[in-house]
Amino acid sequence: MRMKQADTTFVVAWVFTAATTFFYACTMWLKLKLPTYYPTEHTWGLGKKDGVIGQGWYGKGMFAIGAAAIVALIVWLILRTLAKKDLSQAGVKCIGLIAIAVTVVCTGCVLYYEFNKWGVF
Amino acid sequence: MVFLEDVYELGLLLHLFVTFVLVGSMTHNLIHVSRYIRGKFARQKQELLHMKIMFWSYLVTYIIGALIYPAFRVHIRATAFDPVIPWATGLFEVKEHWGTLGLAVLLSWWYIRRSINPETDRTHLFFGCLPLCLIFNVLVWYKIVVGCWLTMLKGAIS
Repeated sequence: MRMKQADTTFVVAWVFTAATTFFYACTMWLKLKLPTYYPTEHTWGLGKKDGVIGQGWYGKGMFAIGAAAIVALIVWLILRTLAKKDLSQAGVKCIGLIAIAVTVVCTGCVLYYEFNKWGVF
Repeated sequence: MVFLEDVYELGLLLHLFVTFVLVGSMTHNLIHVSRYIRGKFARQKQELLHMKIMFWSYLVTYIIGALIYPAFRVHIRATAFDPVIPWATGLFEVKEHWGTLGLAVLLSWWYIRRSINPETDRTHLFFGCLPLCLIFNVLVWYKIVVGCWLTMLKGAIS
């Protein structure tokens, strides 16, 4: 017997959301060199170039969503092959609350990083 | 010449018009979810329809925003925001980042919603659909308010 569809979906979806926000916050705090578009040169490169306008937003989004999709896929495969029981109500609540906390904290970190950087505070 | 520079204003208007559709469907959805919380499950078909409209309108808004971003970055942000009112860049940057996070939230919300019955899977509703719906509303309303405010500060390429 496998875990029921609603439980699998619940876990995979929350893992995807929490992981996306976590990886997105990581791109800022760890200053990862990601694909960047240089609109005045019509080219792509890695990271910032001195004196050239760059747009790192595309790379950050692709990285965060791509990495989170891989994590969610791994979790889905694990649940499909190993999980034999349905989640208890406490399990659903626990996973939901942890994922909400990660999502809200990482989303707040993104806001704090930019507001601090550009002097909004 | 920057990518789509010639049609920037048109793109910005489309971005706004599709946002109207998004706000309508998102608000209807919030009402549906609040009905579920109160134990009323009569309008599930309409809720799924609004969910579909919300999903596609968000995706279209997101894509248009991504397409017109280079012209904004070069002609507005680099010249009018960064050197003069850097706090506006801060507000804008959060708007863009939250746009991507909103996409992940929306995908997850849709994925969970399609697999549950709100009437029987109450725990999944309370700890899945409801928080995702609230987070999505916060993200999108921030984007709308900040987007409109920044466009009032400087919206067109001069």
